[in-house]
Amino acid sequence: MGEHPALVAAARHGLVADIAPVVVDAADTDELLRVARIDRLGGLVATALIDGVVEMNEETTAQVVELWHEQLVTVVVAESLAVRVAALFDRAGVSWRLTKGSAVARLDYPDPNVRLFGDVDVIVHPGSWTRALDALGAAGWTREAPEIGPGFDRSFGKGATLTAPDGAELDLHRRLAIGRFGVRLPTEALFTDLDVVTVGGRVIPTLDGPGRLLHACYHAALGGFRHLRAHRDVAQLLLVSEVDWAATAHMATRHGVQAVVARAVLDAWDALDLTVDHPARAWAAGTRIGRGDARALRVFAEERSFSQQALTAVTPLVGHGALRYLWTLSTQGGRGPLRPSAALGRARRAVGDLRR
Amino acid sequence: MRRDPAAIWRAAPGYLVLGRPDRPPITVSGPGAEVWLLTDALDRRSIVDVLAARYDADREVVRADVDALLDRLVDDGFVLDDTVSAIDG
Repeated sequence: MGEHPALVAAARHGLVADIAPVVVDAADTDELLRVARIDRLGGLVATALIDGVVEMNEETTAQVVELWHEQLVTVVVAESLAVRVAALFDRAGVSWRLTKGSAVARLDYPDPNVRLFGDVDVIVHPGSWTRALDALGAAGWTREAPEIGPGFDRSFGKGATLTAPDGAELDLHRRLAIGRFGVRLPTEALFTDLDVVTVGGRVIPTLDGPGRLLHACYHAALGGFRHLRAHRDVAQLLLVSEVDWAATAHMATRHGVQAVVARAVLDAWDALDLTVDHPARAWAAGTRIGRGDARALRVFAEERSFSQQALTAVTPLVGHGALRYLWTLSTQGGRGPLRPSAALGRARRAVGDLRR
Repeated sequence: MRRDPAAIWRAAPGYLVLGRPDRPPITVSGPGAEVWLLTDALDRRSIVDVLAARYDADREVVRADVDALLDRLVDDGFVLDDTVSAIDG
């Protein structure tokens, strides 16, 4: 993982007993601040400083505190947006859940001020997808990238990013991921129960605990930017919130995405240098990850292109629209150099993998 | 006196961010964050007492600062106050 020991100490602070304070060398401060900024660790690092878990010079300490303050402003802006979206969706009768940043900060961290985020993520029930897009469109929101092809969102897509007239952005999820593990998990499974948060006086539905853990695992194992904050979320949900991880594991196994949860749990323990025993860690260590799943996880871990990540869905889609999926990606995707002939070649190989 | 439930906020030691869905956030530095945190539990006079004791500060100075901040927060709609007038004694 290669993260600075001070960042690791900050990211694990509050989960387990701290080890000796980590002293930051002045030569490391620029890089430490850079990572803390992009991974939104300002709150965790500042808290670690206040609690004496990390030590650094006065100038860097002031910079960390300033960073925390900046990132808190972003959080308030994001939650203001969440309230606007909630009002819009409630009026339109959209079935949806708030997830990730705001939901996790408010429900799973004793002090939400330390869990920082910069955007709003919502999951929309498949039956409400069109209604949600229509409601946002009527309010002046525009979709950044058009649907790859007719019906692609419904059958295969991860979701859409929409921009409000004032420039605010919203990530609307139709699935938790693109590719193999996205199409395997029916989004409806995340809507069997819910938790709520009250933001700005409005009661907002969120994923329930097992659902939040599942989404945190998807982000930690498959997300485009997964560093200490993503691993902390997984560990936080297990060790602090004590969500019903067995329900998460059951749901994941039932839909063939247990490799995602197992990988994320193991990675969290490794990234945060955790040695504490937990039944979820034991379950993850004992979960057999098949060859196809391992290959797909690797594609995401290595942050390969959109096309390559999308192609991991071919095998589970055989008999469920794989050719249409490939054809749409190759002819209208426009996100990678995937020619129709290459697409069909990959389809043949995918079918061959399935037969083996 | 109480916080408007429509306020969206985050706080760090000596720092407060307040927002609403329909406007950009404002920030408050210094003990103002503590005033906000005490607002739901105490009236103005008690907030002044707590902060004057906490910082071993002149009560009149603290009172002026608390009044100024709370008046601003009431004006901005972040605090709902049925007894807006400043403290008399």
